[in-house]
Amino acid sequence: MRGHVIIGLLCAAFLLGLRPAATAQTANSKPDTAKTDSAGQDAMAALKKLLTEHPELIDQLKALLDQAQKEKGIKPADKPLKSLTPGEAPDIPAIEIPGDKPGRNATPATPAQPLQGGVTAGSIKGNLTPDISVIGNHRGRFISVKGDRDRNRFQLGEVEVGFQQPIYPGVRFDGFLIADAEAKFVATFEELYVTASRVGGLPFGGLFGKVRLNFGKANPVHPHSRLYVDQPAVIANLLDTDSLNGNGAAFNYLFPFKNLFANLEVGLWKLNPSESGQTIGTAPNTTFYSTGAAITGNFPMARLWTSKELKGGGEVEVGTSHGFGKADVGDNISLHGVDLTYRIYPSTFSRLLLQGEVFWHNREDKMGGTGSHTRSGHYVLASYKPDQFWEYGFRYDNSRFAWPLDGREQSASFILTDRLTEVSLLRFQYKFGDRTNGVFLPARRGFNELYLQFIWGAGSHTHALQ
Amino acid sequence: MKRLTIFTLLLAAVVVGQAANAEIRVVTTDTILADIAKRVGGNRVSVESLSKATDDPHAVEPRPSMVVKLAKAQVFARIGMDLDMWADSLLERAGNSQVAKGGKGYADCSTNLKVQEIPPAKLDPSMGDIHVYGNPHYLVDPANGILAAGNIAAALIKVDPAGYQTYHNNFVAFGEEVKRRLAGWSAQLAPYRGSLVTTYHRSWVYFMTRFGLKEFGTIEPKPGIQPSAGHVNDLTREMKADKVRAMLVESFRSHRFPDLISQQTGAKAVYVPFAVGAEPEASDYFKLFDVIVGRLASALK
Repeated sequence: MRGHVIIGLLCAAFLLGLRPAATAQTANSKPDTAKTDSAGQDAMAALKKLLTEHPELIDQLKALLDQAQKEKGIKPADKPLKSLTPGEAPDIPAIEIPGDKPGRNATPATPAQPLQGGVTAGSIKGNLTPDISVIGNHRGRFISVKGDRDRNRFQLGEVEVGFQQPIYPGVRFDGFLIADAEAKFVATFEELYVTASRVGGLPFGGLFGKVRLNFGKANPVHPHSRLYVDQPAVIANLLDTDSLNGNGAAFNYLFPFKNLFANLEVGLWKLNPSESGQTIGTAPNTTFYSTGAAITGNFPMARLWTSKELKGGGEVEVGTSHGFGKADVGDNISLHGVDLTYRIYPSTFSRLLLQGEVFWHNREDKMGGTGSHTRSGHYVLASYKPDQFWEYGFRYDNSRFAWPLDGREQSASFILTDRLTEVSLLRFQYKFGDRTNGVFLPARRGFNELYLQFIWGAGSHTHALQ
Repeated sequence: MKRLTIFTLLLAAVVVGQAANAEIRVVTTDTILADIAKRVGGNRVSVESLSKATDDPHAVEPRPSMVVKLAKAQVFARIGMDLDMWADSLLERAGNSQVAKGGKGYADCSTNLKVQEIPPAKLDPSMGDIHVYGNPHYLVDPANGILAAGNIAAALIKVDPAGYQTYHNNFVAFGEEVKRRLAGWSAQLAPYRGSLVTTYHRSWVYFMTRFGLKEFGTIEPKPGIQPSAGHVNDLTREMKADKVRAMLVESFRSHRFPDLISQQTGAKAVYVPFAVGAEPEASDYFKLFDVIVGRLASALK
C-alpha cells in the first residue's frame, strides 16, 4: 500500500514539476488549454485526496518538488517580501497565549528572546563574542597656572575599552581596559570583575575581581559617566588620584524592606597606594608619603546605601562608607565617608540633582609618635538638566590633603554639558579658587582653569547601578 | 499542649489565608504594559510601572527605589528590544531570579513580534541612537497589545497556575475588545489612508503601518539627534511642496520645532500622549488610542 502511495505521489510530483516547463514550451502554439486545465485539475484533486489521507507524505512531496526543480534548473520562487500598501492593514496577532494549549493549565517555556519578523531559524548565526565598547575621553585645560605641563592643550586623555558578558545564569563579567595619557597610554585593566546576583537562591550577591571601590558615590563612577570633567578634590586628596581601586571580593545584601532600598556591601580588598605624593623629612631621614588613602595591603570596608522615593517623584539617597588598613610604614589608617543625594524629575527630560559627600581620613603616626591626625574634605554638586540635551552644573570643592601632606584645595566650578547623542557629549568647566599644595597641579591662590571635554563612544556599554 | 496546637493551627490558617488572598505582584517598565497587565490579571494581581506616563521610554534614569519594586515582583513585563535596557542594571541589583531573564516571571512583551525596521548588519553611532533589534515602538499599534497581553498572560500562568482560567478568559476578552475597537479606529482613519504625516522621532512606524498612513519625515535628523536649523529648513520646504497636513508628536517632546514648522507650513502639530496616564483623557489603554486616533483624524480633516 505504502509503495502505491509513493508511486502516486511521484506521478503527481512529476506532473506538477513539468507543468511550468510544459506551459512555457507551448506558449506560442495555441494549445488546447481546456484539456490541459482539466488534466491538471484531476491531478490536483488526486494529489489533494492523497495528501489528506496521508499527511505524513507532505514533506516527502516537498523534497521531491525541490529535487525536480533543481534538476530542471528552475530556481524556486523567492518568497515575496510583504510590503503593505496604503489601505492594507498588517495582520492582527492571534488571540493566543504563547505556549498555551487548550485544556492545559501549564504552559511550556516561551522563547526568552524575541522572534523577529523576517528572521527564520538558521538565518542568523549565534555569536558568543562579549559586548565590546570603546570610549574616548579628550580633555583640555586652558588658562591654568604656568607650570601645568598640560596647559593649553586639548588632547586624548583616556581611552576605555569595555568587555562585558553574562557567563552563567545570574553571573556576568565586566572588564575595562584603560589607556590613559598620564600612564603614556600603557593599557591596564582598571577593572575586571565578576558579579553574581543571588546565585543558587542565596540571599546575597557577590562581586569579586579588580574594581573601583563602592566607597561613596563619586569614587566608582567612570570618567565618561561623571557630570564634570575633573574628579572632586576630596577624592584625589583623601582616596586616590582618580579613584580608590582594589582587588578582592565583596558581598551585597539587599534588606527586604517594603519601601526602602537598603543595600549593605561588605568587602575585603587589596590596595596599592597612589604613586603621586611627596617626600618629607631631611636626608637621609626622608619618607615618601602618597596622596590619598595611602593604604597598602588589606582594606576591609563596608558601605550601607539607602534610598527612599519621596512623594512628588523625588528620591533621596544616603550612604555611609567605612574602611581601614595600614600604610606601608605601619601607620593605622581609617577612612569614613557620608554621602547624600537628592534627585527630582520635574518633567520628562528635566532633572535636578543635588549631591554632597564628606570624607574623613585618619592616620595614627606610629613611626613619629605624633598621635592621631584626621583630615577631611567635601564637595557639593548641583546639576540641572532642563531638556534632553543640555545640563548645567555647579560644584564646590573644599578638601585638605591626608596627613602629613599640607595644603588644601578650595574651588568652585561652573559646568555646561551638551549631550550630542546617547554616546557623545561636549563639556566645559570653569574652575577658580585656591590651591595650596602643588602635588597634582601647581599651587596658586586665585587660580583659574577652563576645561574642555569631548567624550564619544561606540558599542554596547553598561554599568551597574551606582 | 492543646492550646499550643490550637494556636499553631490558627496561625497556619492565617498564613494560608493570607497566601491564598495574596495578589501576584507585577512590575512593568511602562504604563501601557501596566494597564494591559491589570486587564489580564484582574483582581489576582497588583501592578506597578517603573516609569511614569510622561517619561520618554528611552531615557528613564534607573533609581534605587525601582530595585525595591523589582526585588518583590513575581512577574516583570518589559517592552524589550533594548528600549528599556535601563531596567537591566535594576534587575541585576534586585537579584530576584524569578523575574530575571529566563525566570518564569519574566515577560519580554516583544516575543513573537513582527519587527519593523530591522537595521542593517553593520551599525554605527553616526546613524544616531539606533536600536539594534529593530524599531521597538510596537506598542503604538493597538493590535500589538494582544501580543503583549499574551506574553504577560503566559508569565502569569507560569507563576500562578491556579489563575489559569482567569488569565485566559481576561486575555481573550481583552483581545476581542482590541479587535472590536481597532475596527472603529481603522474606520475613523480610513478616509486619510495614504496621507503623509511627519513625526518627531521614528516612534510611530507601527501605528502608520496599521492605519495605512505614510511617514513623510522626522523632525530629528537622525534618531536621538537634536534637530538642526538646516534639517528643519529642508523639512519645512519639503513639507510645503508635498502639502503635508499633520505632524504626530509625543506630548513630552519639545514643542519648539513642531510649532515653528506648523507656522511655516500650515501642517497641524498633533501632540498626543505616548503612554497610559500621560494625559487625563488617556487614562487607560483604549482611551489612549481614542485620543491619538481622534486628534490625528481631526488634524487630517
